[in-house]
Amino acid sequence: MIIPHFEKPREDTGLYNGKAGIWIFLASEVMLFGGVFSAYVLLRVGADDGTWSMGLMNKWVGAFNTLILIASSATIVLAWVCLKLKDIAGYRKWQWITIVFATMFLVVKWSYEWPAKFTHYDVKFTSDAAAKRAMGDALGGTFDETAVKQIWQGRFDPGTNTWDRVELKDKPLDGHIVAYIDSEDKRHKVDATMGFSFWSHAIVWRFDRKNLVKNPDGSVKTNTEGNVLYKGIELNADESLKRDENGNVVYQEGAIPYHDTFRDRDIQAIVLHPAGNWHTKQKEASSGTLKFAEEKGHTGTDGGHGHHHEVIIQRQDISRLSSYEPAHSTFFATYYTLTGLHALHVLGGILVMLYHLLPISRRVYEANPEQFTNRIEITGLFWHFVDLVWIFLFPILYLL
Amino acid sequence: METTTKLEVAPGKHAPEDEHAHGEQHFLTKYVFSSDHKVIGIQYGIGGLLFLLVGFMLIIGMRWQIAKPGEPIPIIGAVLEHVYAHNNAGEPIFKNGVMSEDAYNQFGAMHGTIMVFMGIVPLAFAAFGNYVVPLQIGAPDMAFPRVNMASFWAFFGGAVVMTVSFFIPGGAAQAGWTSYSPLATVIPTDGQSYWLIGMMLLITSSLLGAVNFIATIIQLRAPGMTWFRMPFFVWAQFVTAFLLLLAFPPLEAAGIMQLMDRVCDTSFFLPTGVFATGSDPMNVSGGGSPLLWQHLFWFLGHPEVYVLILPAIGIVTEIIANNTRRPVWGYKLMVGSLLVLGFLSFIVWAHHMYLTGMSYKVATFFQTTTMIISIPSVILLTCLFITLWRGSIRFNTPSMFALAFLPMFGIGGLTGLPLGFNFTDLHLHDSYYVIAHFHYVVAPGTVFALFAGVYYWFPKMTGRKMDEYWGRVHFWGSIIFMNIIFMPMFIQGFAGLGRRMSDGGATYSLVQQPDLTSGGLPESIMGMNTMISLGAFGMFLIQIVFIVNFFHSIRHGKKVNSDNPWGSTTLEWQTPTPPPHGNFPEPIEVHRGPYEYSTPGADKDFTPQTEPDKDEA
Repeated sequence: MIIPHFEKPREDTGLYNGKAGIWIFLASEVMLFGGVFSAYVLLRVGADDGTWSMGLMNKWVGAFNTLILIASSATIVLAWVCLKLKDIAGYRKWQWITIVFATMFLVVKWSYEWPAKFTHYDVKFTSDAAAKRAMGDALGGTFDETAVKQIWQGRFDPGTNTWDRVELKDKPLDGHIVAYIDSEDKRHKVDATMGFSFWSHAIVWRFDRKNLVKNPDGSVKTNTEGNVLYKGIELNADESLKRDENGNVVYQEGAIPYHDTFRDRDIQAIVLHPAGNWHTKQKEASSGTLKFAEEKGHTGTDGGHGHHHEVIIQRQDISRLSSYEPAHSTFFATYYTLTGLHALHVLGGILVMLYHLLPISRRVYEANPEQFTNRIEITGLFWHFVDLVWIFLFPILYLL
Repeated sequence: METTTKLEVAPGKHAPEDEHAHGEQHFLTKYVFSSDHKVIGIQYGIGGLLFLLVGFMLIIGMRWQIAKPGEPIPIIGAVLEHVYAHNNAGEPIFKNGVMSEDAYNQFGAMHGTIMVFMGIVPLAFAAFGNYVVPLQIGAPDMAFPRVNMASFWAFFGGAVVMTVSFFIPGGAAQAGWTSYSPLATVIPTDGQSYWLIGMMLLITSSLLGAVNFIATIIQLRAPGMTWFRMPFFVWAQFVTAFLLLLAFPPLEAAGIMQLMDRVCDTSFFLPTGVFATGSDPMNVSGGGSPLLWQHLFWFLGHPEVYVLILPAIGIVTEIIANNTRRPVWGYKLMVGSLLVLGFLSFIVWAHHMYLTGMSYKVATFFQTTTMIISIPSVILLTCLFITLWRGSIRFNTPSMFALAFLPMFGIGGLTGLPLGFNFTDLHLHDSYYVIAHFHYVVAPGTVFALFAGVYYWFPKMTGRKMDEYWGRVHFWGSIIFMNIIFMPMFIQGFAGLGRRMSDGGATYSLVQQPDLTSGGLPESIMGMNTMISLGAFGMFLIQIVFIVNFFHSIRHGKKVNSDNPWGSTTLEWQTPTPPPHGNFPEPIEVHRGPYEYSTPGADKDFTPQTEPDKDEA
């Protein structure tokens, strides 16, 4: 049995089945991305002051990705044209070039853009005084409100004015964590390319909701050391945490350990290398009269931001510490969801294009060139859609 | 027009669709991993019926708890204590055979989910649509047979995930089938995550199905099958497919975001400063919007109502035309209403959200569109009633179910009007009145239409009819018990009994405190709980009749003596029974509209669509 119109167009619609199908499918894709886009609009309009991180993205990297994706949209058309002209070698060439472009896009995203964010931290503070102290250190010793304001506006409100509406302690200081200091004042180096490992880095700001120990009034119980208590942790008589010889927290037999990096590693303070914008301001402000000596080679790599002065922030001064991960803010939640969903579509496109270069596809071509050409046309339609989605994503995430 | 029924084998076309491959197909490719629309339709049908039963069993358990709060469920309770999941404290959720609050919430959430997404949609849309639509338009199969197979297996995967979620630690999802955040996000068991992943698979299944249906109806109509010669059932499936295609993806997006909230601790649906339990704010960034979830959910949720009802109206239309032996009155008017209905269903969703404190201007917009959408619905129903007028109706099991659909759906529809006005909704919202309203639409409405469809197309699938006597027993029992169950709920709702209370409102009504003078519900209202539960149990007994009849008739039913036992005009009856692979042994051509019954001057009381005009022949 042969399905009618699987290769030749139907007269009244002018479409073969696959082409009709892909257009219908793309309509649903519009609604899928439309759902997340509408979330973007609603969350951005309703965002609290100083939480929507505008101006954080590297727009040149984004522009580069836009460029190669547009180019790949052109090359896949060339692949299809070659097939129409029965030029199978030309088809293979352009199809490979399309795949290379698409792969470059993913490499930039998944090996550069995302990982760089996972090691970049925002610190918010428990008091204005603590914020002033840390920001002052970041700027080279003196707190300079104008400099902080400039950095703030560059990140959170170009063109608007929310500076006065957000307390200083809720304005983040950002950078890489290069080391931490334990209760015996010992300093431990942190590999800044990885930060604290991906899933456990968010430290106290993640509760294992299932196993928190509660006070009778329902609040979360903490011990005298200020640690949040979980079921299954062994305690000493004075309610302090029992630790083994390596300083790790001991769990009861059979309990599932929950990682609280601050508690488990006995972190009393973090050592932060402020990001480049603080560095620049610090140079402008203090013109070389540095409070701290350069500590070359002392703290390992710092993610390509050049050498900075370290800022030591005590644990009790931190109200929130988060890398630029999805949980950082609704902006990053939307960013990762949108770009991740799009990247999965790119990956799917690459797999389909690779399939069309396999020997099995070659046999389809030899048996029925028209059917195979149709398949490439359909792939192209999908690919143009993926490209078009990015053309919307680039401005709303990188430029606006 | 280029002929659509070329049967020669094109070069380079491989199995499994290959002409000479079938006949010796392996059992697995023929009945399990099949790409034949008829087999897939039956697979969906059995899956859908099975989950209708599962969903029904859940509600029987809940009705026990409502009627006898805190008392152990006889026999089943002891089994559930051992089989069912344990909670996070490590205790059985059915401790001592008693349905706990958690269990009640899980059963309630999963009852809705299973009935809507795993029962009715697979049965009404995927099963009947798959089996009947290609036959009715004269196509050899769906446009994309392998996509069709993928659709079924995505459904299968989703069904497995949903079913498994009952047995994981903590049990299944328990935030209602609507899964409102923040509640759904903060519940500390994994059931909700399973629910979300299961939903994504089910949504994928529906999307693949919808693409296939639309492409098939556009591309594969037989020569002469113009748009207005399509049976109304095909039109209904066409519009339904569009609703699924465009309304489901936003829920998929919402599902992804809620999963992000649960797994990556983002705050899409968690507002700033949200408290989970106790006095500590949750450690999330905040800045999200619980209303966003509701908007995205109901953007699917309302079109979904029409996904449930339109195929049912399609089935009823076929059966009524066939059994009144009259053309459907106002066929084109019905098609027009259907299209208007499909469009309007996308702009009424916020009438589910009047109580969220939305602006009265927005509420006014949505109550206006809600009132407008009742017009095409009434037109559809009126056309069917007029079709009955002066017809000589044949009363058999399918036609009785189809006829009962009309008043039952009418009750469901009309009782929706007070919910569509925001001022009356203030009182009725989240009460048993709402439950009664939408169950009248989908239970004695859609489900009756589905039963009608099963009885009607059973001879086409098996070559045998289901037993007529037991069919009537099933019908009369079902319609009586349906009304015993749902009619009192209107009264309970008016009296103010809220839904989703795990003790059936006992605590709320405080009937245990006779000295209470106000604020409680009288015994006359609370006493209905027992009556309804008895009705539900009777309903269950009656369904056993159907199940036995169904399986017994596959092998032992009365054989039909022709390919067209009901004397029908549409194309599915103009093929052998059951239809072979490829459906039509001879190329067919369509010469007339779908409902030429009792045409004056014709030699029979029905003229099949394939019959050429006399002067043509």
